[in-house]
Amino acid sequence: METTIQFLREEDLPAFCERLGVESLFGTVRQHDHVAYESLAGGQNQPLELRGRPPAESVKGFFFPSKERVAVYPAPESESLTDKEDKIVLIGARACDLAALAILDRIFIHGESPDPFYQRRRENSLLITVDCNRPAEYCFCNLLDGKPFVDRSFDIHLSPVEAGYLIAADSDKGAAVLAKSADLLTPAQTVQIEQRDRQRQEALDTLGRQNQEFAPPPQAPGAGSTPDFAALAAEAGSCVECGACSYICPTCHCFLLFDHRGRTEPLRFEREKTWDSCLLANFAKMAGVGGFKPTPRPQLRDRFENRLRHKFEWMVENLNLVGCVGCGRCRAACMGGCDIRTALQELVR
Amino acid sequence: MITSNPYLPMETELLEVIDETPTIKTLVLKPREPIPFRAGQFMQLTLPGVGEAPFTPSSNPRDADRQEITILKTGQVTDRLHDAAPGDLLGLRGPFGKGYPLEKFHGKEVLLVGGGVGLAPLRALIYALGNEPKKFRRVSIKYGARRPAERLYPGQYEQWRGIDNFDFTETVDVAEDGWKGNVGVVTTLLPDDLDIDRTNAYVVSCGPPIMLRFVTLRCLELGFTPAQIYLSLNRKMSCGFGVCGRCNIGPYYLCKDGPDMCYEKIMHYDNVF
Ligand SMILES: Cc1cc2nc3c(=O)[nH]c(=O)nc-3n(C[C@H](O)[C@H](O)[C@H](O)COP(=O)(O)OP(=O)(O)OC[C@H]3O[C@@H](n4cnc5c(N)ncnc54)[C@H](O)[C@@H]3O)c2cc1C
Ligand code: SF4
Ligand code: SF4
Ligand code: FES
Repeated sequence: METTIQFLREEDLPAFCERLGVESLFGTVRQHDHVAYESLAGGQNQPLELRGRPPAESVKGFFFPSKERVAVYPAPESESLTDKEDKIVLIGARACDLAALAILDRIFIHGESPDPFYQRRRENSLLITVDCNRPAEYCFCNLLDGKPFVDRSFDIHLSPVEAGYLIAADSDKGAAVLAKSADLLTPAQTVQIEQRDRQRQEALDTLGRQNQEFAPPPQAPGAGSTPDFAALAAEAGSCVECGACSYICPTCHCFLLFDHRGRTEPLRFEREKTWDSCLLANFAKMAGVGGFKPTPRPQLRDRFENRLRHKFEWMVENLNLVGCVGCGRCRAACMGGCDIRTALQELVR
Repeated sequence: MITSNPYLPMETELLEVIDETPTIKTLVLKPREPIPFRAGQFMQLTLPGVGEAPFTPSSNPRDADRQEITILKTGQVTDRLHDAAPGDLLGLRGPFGKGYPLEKFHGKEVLLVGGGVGLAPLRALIYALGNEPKKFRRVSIKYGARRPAERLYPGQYEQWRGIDNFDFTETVDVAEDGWKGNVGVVTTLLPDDLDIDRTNAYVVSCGPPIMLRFVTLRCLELGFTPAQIYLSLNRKMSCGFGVCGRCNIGPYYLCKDGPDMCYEKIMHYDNVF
């Protein structure tokens, strides 16, 4: 699709958001020392923060919530859990968010059994991405073929420049939205595009500098390879098994189905799908006799290795993609200071 | 386009409960619509409000209207399933997984080795093989139970022995109640002079992990190759279709790629058994 680059003034951003005309509008705002998504629906909103550090959380939870009801049984005649149409627009997502969603789409939409809840939300969503001009110290998308900006396959993309934003659409949905705000947009100037490119290069340089000691992870070493367990266990040694790395990760998608009696209708039961983490000891525990519940991964380092090999070896084998986008959030979230970049190097050495 | 909801079970009526052993019952189920399945494919059985657990139907795959599921009482969901009564409403999702590679077995000898409740999934396979016995050169069934009272489906053994090219041998770990048959673990039914054409046979085994391990080692000793051995391994499961991340051995998801796996594919990974 032909993308025309236009300019939106900073002071016109609220009007632009207003005209998006959706109730579920979320954008990145500053909260104390971090950046987070907040609802922008209705009246008094904090100003959007589109020039600073990447948001602490990815957009995963908007499409794959930490907990959601996925079945009511016996199914009521009238209600269908998947018919609801809730349009959602997110402002402030980064390139790594789009890359991660492409991975989740493969899992939840293009697999053998599509998840109708995830699929419906994705189909009803519009993402307004933004250049990541100030990568965090833990970001390493550059090691995984990523870039701190988006130049294809987006809905609408913003590049912060002096006094406003360069703005472009790359999908029909995005183009329709820009058309509604045509009067707020002016053609981009060459100096503005030069500023954008300079900033992008600076972000790339920052990423290159902060990751120079780490090599990009090689592709699948293949089944049967022997990773350096001792070194890996040392890295797992500081893990306190909180699961934060999996929950915060934009591509981790392990979940558990959990049943309980209906809260409103006790004669029906409800099934919930909740986030889970393959690092937790109970994750794969099986039934057993006499209270002994065996698990195929009894040691923390087995589970640590499983998480890494799933992303960097087995997803490559199964789906031909790497299950990590280098957002570094697992590093930022880890109480034990585990750095996936270090662990990776040990795993694939 | 929104397709169906893979998390919602199909309404299923419990028709009959068969007491098999002190700890094993078979539930005869009638789903609202027929559920065709292949031998070895499994179902997620829901006890409303209590939970869901995976089971491989033990009935004849030719019969899609009714399904029999044989259940060992061993925890939260199975304890309560043992209390279920005819007329109760249960739920089924599935079938999941690939099922046994029957076509591969055509013209071959098939050695089935079962332990305990592991005979349940194998019974579906025995039915499937028995539906067209001429297609298989020979079917040899070896079964081990802990004690005589725990033998599963004892009423059917004669019938299996009666099929032309089938044989059935059993053993118990501990002899009791005037037991006159074989005593010893199931691998004692796999002696060095085992009468089977090792170059032209497949082994299929289902049972507790420790048994699977010893059966595998024994079969390798006897000269079978890893490619000839199929194992029904146990893993915790939730989704049933390779997404929730629970049941993998390396890159394989037992729910999707199994639950019966060719040993050759998984032998290089840790903690297989
Ligand atoms: C492919 C496959 C085929 C199998 N076939 C058979 C078979 O034919 N016969 C047989 O006897 N066994 C079979 N098993 C083993 C059987 O699945 C387990 O024995 C059974 O899951 C034990 O469940 P439990 O709840 O009784 O045990 P527990 O040790 O109490 O396990 C608890 C599990 O129950 C489930 N659960 C508990 N509460 C909830 C809740 N509120 N919501 C949702 N889930 C909940 C969860 O999965 C949880 O992990 C098979 C296993 C697999 C993987
Ligand atoms: S594994 Fe870590 S760096 Fe990779 S995508 Fe997940 S949170 Fe980001
Ligand atoms: S965030 Fe760190 S401590 Fe928590 S489970 Fe992950 S690696 Fe372990
Ligand atoms: S049961 Fe969910 S991945 Fe196998």
